[in-house]
Amino acid sequence: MNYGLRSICFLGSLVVMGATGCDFRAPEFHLNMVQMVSDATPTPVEYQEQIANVLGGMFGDPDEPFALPETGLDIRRLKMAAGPAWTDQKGAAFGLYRQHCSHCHGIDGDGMGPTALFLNPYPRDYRQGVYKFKSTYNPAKPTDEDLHRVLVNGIPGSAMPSFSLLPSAEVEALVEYVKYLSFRGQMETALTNYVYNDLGEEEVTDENGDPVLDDEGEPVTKLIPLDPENDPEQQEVIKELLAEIVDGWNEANEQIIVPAEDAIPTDVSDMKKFAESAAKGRELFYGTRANCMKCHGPTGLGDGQQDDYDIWNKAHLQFLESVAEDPGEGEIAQDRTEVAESLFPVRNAIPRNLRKGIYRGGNRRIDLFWRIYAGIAGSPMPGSGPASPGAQGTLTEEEMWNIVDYVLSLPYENASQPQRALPINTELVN
Amino acid sequence: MITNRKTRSPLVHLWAWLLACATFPLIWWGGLVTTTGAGMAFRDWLTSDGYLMPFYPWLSSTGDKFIEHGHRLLGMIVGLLAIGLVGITWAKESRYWVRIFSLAILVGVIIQGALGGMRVVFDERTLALIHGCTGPLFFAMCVAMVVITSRWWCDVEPLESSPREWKYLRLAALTTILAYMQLIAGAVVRHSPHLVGQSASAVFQAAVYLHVLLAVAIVVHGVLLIWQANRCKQPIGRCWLLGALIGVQIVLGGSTWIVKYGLPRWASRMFGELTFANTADNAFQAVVVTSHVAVGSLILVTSLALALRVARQLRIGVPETVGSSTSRMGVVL
Repeated sequence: MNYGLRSICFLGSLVVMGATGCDFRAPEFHLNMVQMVSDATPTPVEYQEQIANVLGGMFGDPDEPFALPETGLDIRRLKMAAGPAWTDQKGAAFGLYRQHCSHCHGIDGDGMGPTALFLNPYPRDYRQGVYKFKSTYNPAKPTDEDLHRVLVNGIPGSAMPSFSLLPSAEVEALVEYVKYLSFRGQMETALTNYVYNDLGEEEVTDENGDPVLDDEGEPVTKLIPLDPENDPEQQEVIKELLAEIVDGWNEANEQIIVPAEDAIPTDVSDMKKFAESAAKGRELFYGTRANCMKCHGPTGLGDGQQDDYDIWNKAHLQFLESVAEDPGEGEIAQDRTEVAESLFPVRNAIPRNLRKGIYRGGNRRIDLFWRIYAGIAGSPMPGSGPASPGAQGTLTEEEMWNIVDYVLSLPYENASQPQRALPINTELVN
Repeated sequence: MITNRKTRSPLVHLWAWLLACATFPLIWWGGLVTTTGAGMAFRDWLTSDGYLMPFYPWLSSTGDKFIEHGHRLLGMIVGLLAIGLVGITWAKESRYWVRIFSLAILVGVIIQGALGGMRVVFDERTLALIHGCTGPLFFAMCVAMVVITSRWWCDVEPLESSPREWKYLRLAALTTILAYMQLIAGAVVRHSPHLVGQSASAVFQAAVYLHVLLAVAIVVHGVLLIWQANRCKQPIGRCWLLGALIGVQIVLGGSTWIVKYGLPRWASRMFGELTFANTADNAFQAVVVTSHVAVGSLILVTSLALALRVARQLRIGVPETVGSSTSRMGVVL
């Protein structure tokens, strides 16, 4: 393109973008401010900057992501998913996260992208590394396969679409980037806790090692800087914190819930056996051991307990309540109020209406089994199976399969004959 | 009357039709580029992956490259047609202001093309947004050219000015302005989620509320326009066409939201949740979303045509001293 024409166009563009308030700054990751100004881990501004620097060194920025070899993250995939969206001459797509995900999940993966306020439910906040629909035990991380499945299938009944039309390599790149955002978010939490618990103020000493006193005779203090580059001890601690996070993800494959062969009903196409299994499941569903009725209601319409929260909304609610109760003083009060005002309205976790046959985590029998076995991480839905390998669960696997069969039959059951609430359940529901 | 007929050239009118007919696909193809996120399929402009625009092997390309380059080729065709329009208008058209207007159309297409190109060169979403806003404006100019070069424009008898006609004109003009504001709001709704600044959320939320509010205002104006057309004996067919387009647009707008973001919370509570997950970037989504963009432009130009026609009947812009040497703009309007 002609240089003169290009210059004119450039100047014109500057004027237009200036007039529309456009800024040329590259996108940045932001800190989790709820965490930074909460009562649990109040973090001074100096530490906030230092934490951001450490995170920048460990993970790069949205346009130039970086991952330490210890994380095991594939930098090639990260670069494919990060940055602005474009296509190279061979047709390979880049900037996939910005193209497909960030408008809902946000640049930081905080679930607060531009469209998020209008979505039902709010998009997932990746920063805690907690995912609902997975094949692993409740506290465990999801496997890559779990994340891949959610991306390909989407989440029916929510705004999360299926990305089944994307080439597999692109989906894998997105899975890697989602994990990267979780690693980064978890590391931020770990650093915040570390700074709060192990660093803080220390007395300033002179060249003889004596404390320096101020005009009133009190020892002068300063914050111990978070500076792993020059502090080998801090470097070690941070390595350990990162290793702990990475181990959690690496162990996911060992935490997959594999149903015992002998507990799986052998032939679901046998209507008689299925009906028997569903009948047993019905008893459990309305019984006090499984107590599904507490939340899903006496009709399975999801009209039981409605006033609980998932962990993401609960954290925001607690923060909002603490700000309402005591906003603090001066700049802290201003910061806390600003953060509180930036949050979305808190929403209750509404139990699933099981009579519609819409199962967000997938409608295969194994998907429902995993939901009943491990519960739904981050939500009030508890697991009926053991919380970890070798632990004791509330129900046997056979009983859980019975509930699976009953849940699958619920959309076809006559809703006018619901189970009458037992006294104990009535109390819980009310 | 005979004098008026001599001032217009059927060839100019035909060419204006050709330009408008080529611009409409350009508009919806542009919408398709945004819908499919194909805007950055090439990082260069005026070339496409190093090829001069006409020489890129478009028909053997696929996916976003096919979509983006198709848009570029259509833009090029429209640009050539705009150059042709200027030539023919200056050769055949005697009305000075129409000749100037043809030049304005050419300038419009150049600016529009440069905006599109700069969006690519700087990879700047804000420019894509502005490019999306100015596209329908250019389409409106093309349609205005069709109207003002038509035989009807020259032959139509002046209407006796009455408050009803003026009210009809005000309604049509206001509907046009609202339709254009709605297109701007729509462009912000489409592009702002992809902005990376801190204010993107606030911009998107404000644009969504404004978009809904303007939709209500346009529906009300559409109904009023039909009612007023009946009262002042204006041809009702075009108003019904506008009404039908608005109706279709409302359905497409709701569908666009659903195929992109599912049901909002209030709607899920009223009607229940969707039983499926949308598939990102599938053909159905592309058709629905792009149709919403295209019909929006049609609403704009239909209401503009209505406004121009009644303005012509009321002889707005025609000085009382028609033919005076002091008023070149006023001569044989």
